[in-house]
Order: sequence, then C-alpha cells, then structure tokens
Amino acid sequence: MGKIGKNLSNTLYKILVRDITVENIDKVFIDFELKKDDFLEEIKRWDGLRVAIYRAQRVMREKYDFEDFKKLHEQDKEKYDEYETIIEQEKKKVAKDAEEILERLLDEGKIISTVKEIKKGEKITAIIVPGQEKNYPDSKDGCVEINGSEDMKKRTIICINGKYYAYPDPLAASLSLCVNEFKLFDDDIELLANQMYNTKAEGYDIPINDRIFFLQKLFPEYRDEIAHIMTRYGKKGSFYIYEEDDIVYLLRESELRKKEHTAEEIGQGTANGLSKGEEEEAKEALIRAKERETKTADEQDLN
Amino acid sequence: MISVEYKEAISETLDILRHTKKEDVDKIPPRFMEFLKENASKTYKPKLDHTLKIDKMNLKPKTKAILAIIYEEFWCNNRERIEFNKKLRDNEIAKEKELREKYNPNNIFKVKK
Repeated sequence: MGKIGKNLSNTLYKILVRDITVENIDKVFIDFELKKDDFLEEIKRWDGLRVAIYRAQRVMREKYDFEDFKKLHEQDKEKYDEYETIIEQEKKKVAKDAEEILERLLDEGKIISTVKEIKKGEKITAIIVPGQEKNYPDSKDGCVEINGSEDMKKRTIICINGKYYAYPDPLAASLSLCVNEFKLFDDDIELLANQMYNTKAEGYDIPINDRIFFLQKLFPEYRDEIAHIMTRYGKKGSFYIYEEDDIVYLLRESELRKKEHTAEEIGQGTANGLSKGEEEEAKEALIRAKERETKTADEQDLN
Repeated sequence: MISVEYKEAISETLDILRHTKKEDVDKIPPRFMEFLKENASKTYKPKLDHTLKIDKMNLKPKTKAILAIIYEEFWCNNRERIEFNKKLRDNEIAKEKELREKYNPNNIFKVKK
C-alpha cells in the first residue's frame, strides 16, 4: 500500500478497504464522451495558456518581485513584453507536456470517469458501499435503486468498470476504490488529478468544499496547490476552468518545488568534479576541529 | 577554531540535509550532526535552489567535499565506495593534468614567443 493508503486514516477508508471486492476486472471502464483524438485535439486548442500564464507569473515574480500583472502593461512596457514572451515559450512546452501525459494516461486506460450522473427518468441499481446501508433505507440485498432526480439537483453515483456503487460522496469513495481495488495510478499526482477532474465533472452546482477539504487531508503535501486550483482561476468552490492536465501540471510543479535530495543523488553530484585530495583536506579540517573541541572540553574538565 | 570557509560550507551542507530524504539523513550518526550544527556559520544564510540537482546547485567546493565525506562514511556500501573513490581519484588525475598543462614552462615560453 502506498503513501495514499498510509495517509488515509478515516473510517471511510477502512470500510472500503476491508469490504469491497470487485471481481473479474478485465478492463478499466472509460466513460469519456470525447474520443481520444478529439480529446487531444481539444488539448491542442487549449494550448496550455492558463498554465503558461501561471509559469510566466512565477518567473516574473522571482525575477522582479512583481505581483500586479494586470497593470504590468501600463506600468512597464518592457517587462510586459518580457512576460508575454515567456508565456509564448511556456505555451509550447506546456501543451507538449500535457499532451504527453494525457496520451499516456489514455493509452493506459487511466483517465476514467468514476462518477455517473443519473439523468432525469433514468433508474440505476447500485451496490451500496458496505457500511453505508444506513444512508439508504430503501436498500435490498445490499443494493439500492437510484432514480434520476426530478428537480435540478443532480444525482451521482460511482461507476467503475460498468458497475455502479452507491455512496453519499462519490469522489471520496471512488478515490479509495481507484487506489485499493483497481490500482490504476502510478503515483499520487495521477490519482489526485483524476479525482479532482471527477469532482469538476460532477457539476458546478454541487458544493464541493467538503471534498476539497477531504483531498487536502489526504494529500497534505499538495494542500496549497489544491487551494490554489480552487480559488485562483475558477469560481470559489468550482474547478470549472481547470482540466485534468492543468492539475497534473500544477502538482508536478509542486512536486518539483518540494523535491528532496537523496543519498544517491548527493553521491553522484559530489563525485562530479571533486578530487580525492579536496575530500581528504575537508576530512582533516573536520578531524582537527573535532580534536580541538575534545581538547577544550578535556581542559575545561581538568580546570 | 574551524575556518570561516568551512563554517559556511557546513551551513550549506546542513541546508542540503534539511532538504534530503529523512531515511537518508537518519543514517548519519546524531553525534556527527551535532558536530555540524555546532560548527556551522551563525551569520551565513545559504540561498540554495533545491529544485536543482546537487551538481547544478553551484555549491562551494568545501560543501561538496563535506557531502562527499557523508556519502562515503554513512551512505554507500563497499562496492559504491570503491566506485566513488575511483571517480574522485580520476578527477584528481584530470585536475593535475590540467594544472601541468596550464603551468608547463615550455608552454609558457611557447605562448611568449
């Protein structure tokens, strides 16, 4: 079990891990309205603009400590042109990165919709996620029939590999299912991006603040990025202008910022250009310092 | 008293270790870590970009030397130690060769001609 599993300490997770079994999973259910080619075409059209802007702003902040980009073109034409140039360069990079990530995730069947919206008049029989029976008083043999809502409020359930699961919070439940039952994702970023995408896909009129909080609890290392995605570009409480690849990108960026060195990397990095003599000289300097330290301590003891 | 150069190098080393995987840092004996902390510069504040790899971070040569000591003493296994030392010795030879070529009297005269 990976980092996600370890981080999940709530009851929900335990219930899901212990009881749910889904047999004979041959193929991940891909529930996209767009075909792959159309989808990639859409990505090209989108061209990474928002993420490019985000990157350009970061570069400008680091360089000039400039915050108000809206006024930049009025205040400093030269800096504004530089900003625009960075955006243009970044757009190409971001579009390429996004396309590669999406190509791979699609090829591997890893971009999935795990929530199904039940349309008006539609009836779906769903397996109740064990432990949640009390939320479905009309259940029978562990299943419940869910009707498309008559009012404006959308009804959503989990849909994985063509099977439907009922749980009050589809995002939270599908998260655990994806991790534990299907093991669909190579790392936390792919999983989180997919789940955030699903949150968005569920619709704009459903309050999602609880889910954002839930995701922040599960992924404390991406707490700021989740909040950033929620508030900076979209409406508060909505991901509506974000696509999954934006989120993947932002999280990868965050990962990079939080990068940790490793013993192996330090070994390789130091061996690059350092001579044995330089290492021995440092060793002697440290030994001498240690000896002096010991000698001083001994003298203090004697006194 | 350890030199200012080494104190600053120790400060950089500690900054690197603060951004290094905990499981690796945990392999360094606490007494050695204490020694580093006691001998770090009190005034020098390293400004390192930890998104970069170690060899791209523009570290002080003495920082690299201290990190090399840590790697050799606490992190690598025997096979890795042999390879690591071989690399450092190769670097030594390459540097000596470079110096010989740079300060070769014959070459100096050739240039002067």
